[in-house]
Amino acid sequence: MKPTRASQSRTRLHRRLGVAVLLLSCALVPAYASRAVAWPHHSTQAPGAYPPTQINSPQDFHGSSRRGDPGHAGQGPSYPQPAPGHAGEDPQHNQQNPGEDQQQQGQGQRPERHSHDPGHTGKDPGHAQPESENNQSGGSEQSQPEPGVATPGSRQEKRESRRDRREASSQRRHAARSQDSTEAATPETQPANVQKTQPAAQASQPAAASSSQTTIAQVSPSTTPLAPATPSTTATTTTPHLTTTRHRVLARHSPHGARRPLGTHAHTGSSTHTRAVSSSRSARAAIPRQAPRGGRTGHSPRALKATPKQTRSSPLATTITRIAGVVPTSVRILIGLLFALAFVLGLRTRLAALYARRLERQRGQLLEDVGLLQAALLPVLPARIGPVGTSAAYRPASGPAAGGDFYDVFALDDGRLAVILGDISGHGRQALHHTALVRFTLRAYLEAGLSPRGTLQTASDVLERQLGDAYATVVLATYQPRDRTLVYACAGHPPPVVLGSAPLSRSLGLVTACSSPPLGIGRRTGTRQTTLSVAGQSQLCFYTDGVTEAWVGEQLFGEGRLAETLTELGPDASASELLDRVAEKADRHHDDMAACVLSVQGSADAPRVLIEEIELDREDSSSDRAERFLDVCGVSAGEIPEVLRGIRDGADHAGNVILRVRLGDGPPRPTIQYDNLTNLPARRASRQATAGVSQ
Amino acid sequence: MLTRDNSNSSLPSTERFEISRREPDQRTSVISVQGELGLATAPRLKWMLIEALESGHSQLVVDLSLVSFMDSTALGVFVAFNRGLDADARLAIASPQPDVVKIFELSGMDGVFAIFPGLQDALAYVQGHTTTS
Repeated sequence: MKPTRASQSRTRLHRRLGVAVLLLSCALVPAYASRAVAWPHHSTQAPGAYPPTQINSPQDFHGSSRRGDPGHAGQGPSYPQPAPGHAGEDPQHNQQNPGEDQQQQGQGQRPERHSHDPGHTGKDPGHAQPESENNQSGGSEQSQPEPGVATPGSRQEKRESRRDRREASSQRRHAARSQDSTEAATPETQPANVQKTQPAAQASQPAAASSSQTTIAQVSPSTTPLAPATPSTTATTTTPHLTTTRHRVLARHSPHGARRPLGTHAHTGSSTHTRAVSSSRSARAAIPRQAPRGGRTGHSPRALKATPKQTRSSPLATTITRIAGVVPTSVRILIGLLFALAFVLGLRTRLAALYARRLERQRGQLLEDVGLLQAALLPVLPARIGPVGTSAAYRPASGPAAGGDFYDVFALDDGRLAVILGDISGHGRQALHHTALVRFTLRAYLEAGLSPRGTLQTASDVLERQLGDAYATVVLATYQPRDRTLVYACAGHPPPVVLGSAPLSRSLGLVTACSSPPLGIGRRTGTRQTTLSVAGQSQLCFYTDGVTEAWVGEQLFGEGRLAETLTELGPDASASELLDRVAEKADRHHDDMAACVLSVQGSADAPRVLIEEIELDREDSSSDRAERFLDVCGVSAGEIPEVLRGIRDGADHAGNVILRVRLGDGPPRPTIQYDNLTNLPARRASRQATAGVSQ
Repeated sequence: MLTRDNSNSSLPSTERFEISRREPDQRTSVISVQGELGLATAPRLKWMLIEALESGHSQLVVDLSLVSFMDSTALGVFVAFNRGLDADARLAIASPQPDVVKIFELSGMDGVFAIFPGLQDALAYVQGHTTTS
């Protein structure tokens, strides 16, 4: 039973495929992860707020990368000079604005942001307050730099100065408002931000210096020690409480001057603040560039919602989100498909494994059942029965372990040992039930006390109807250890091979003439029997024709090679060893092979006697059958006519006679027995039964 | 000790196996087999016998003079065919080699089949049946 092998290999294949797909997926992800590291702007902007596709211009990348972001402060190759303030401030952005803060934002933060950091607005999606939004929300600070960008020249400058003024005033108002709101701000935001504001506070120094050279520079040192209150102008724009604190500060100290310089500073970084201050145009230019994006992302509800989520998530989640953001959609789909494929393959593997396990269980059960059946047909023999060593073996040509050949060895009541070995025509499954039928029928008659010949004769009457088209060749034997006598009878079956310390002489060759036909071919069988006294240490080997009809090169294995093989193996050879050796020697065998070996120990001086007997009826007496038998047995030609006459008379009188020829001690001595009483009762009974059934 | 002389045995291949049928008269078929009658070739003997029977021939002679080897499978074919024959049909086996005779003898089939040392005897046997009936 090897059906699981194919499914196993398939399962293995699926497992390998699944692993390969997973590996591929895992290889793709790091590849994009490294890209994410290489493009810092991508990683900052992508998460939720704006998809990568929305980033259009290199300036956008620039702007964002310059803005202080912790993630990029250290990594981003394009990051100009990570100001400590920038590095420190973003965490605040990331952690801030849970619900309430955001609401406050709307009031307190926006105006301020407009006032001094247009660049900032673009930086943090969550808090980016584009000009457009300010237009909507803060009524007073309507005029925004967007139009200003479009109009170059002095008009633009004028407008800008006007706007600056407006913004400054609005900022003041907002600062006042947000101060109140900050004080009401949830404590939740405080502790976390407190610490993080410190770097921001430090950062505020250069920032302040850059923005309003005089005013803020004075302010910053004073505020620095108190972290929460630090007016980290660049960073705090987004955090409500910081914003408000800064508002406070700004309101007090530098209401005016903080605005633009701070904005530019945020853009260019601390090192470039002078340039930023001097070139108001560049600052202005930055505004419109970032405004649209800020307007888009910062104001969308999605962004507002997404930001707190991101900012609160663990570094791992952040990393994953960043990576996910960099991966193009097509690759995402590909990875998704690969994962789906891996999942499907994994599922299939799992199912196949379950199926294989079930099959394995069933196989075990079947083997158990088959083992039980096999044990019923091919019994396990004891190593010895009385003084006789016994062994038997079976080697099927194909199919189940039990098939057309059968054997049995068992002890009889009177101390004899009985052997049954046979072969049903055909082999494999079809022969199984016939095998069982024949074996147990024969065993029953032997146990009832019939001789081997009588058993065959009686059983043939019974089995004839049962076997249908099949037929069986059988050898039956009994061995009496007390007088070392072997009695056997064959029905279409080869006689046993007898080997030993005192082998049979040529003159004592077993006579195979006039053998009985098989059981079940519609002919009378069980007419021949041989009695042999076994001398010395001997091996009696019963076998089926599968053994002798195996092929060695261009020749049959034959009885000669069988006897050779048995001699090679020695007196203790078992039947299974014998069949193994036969299988080794033979190039091929088409039929089942069965063998049974009896090992007899004993003295060598037992008399060697061979008695051949044949039962003859009236029909036989008129044929040449009796004459042939007498001839083969070596009865002298002069003696034969007299014996034949006696046979004919006996057959006429009793229906049938038994002709025995004793060999081995002197010249062959034929004797005729008229009584066939041993078999008569059983045969009569079986014939009556047959008649009853047929009627 | 009985020993089967295998010196004449050759390859159990079907290459050397030949089987043919001729019809001496309208009711008689003589099937000549050459080579080895074993597991591989015995079915062809079976089909040839059935074919002869179906073509209305009830007197069948199987000439085994050129058969070097025969095993239990071929014996089974003869047994099964012989059992299925009608009462008025006859099967004879002609001139088997000693090895083949021994197989018939060993299996007790020598008393079951009509085995003749020569083809003429076998023909006379099957045709004698027709003349008598």
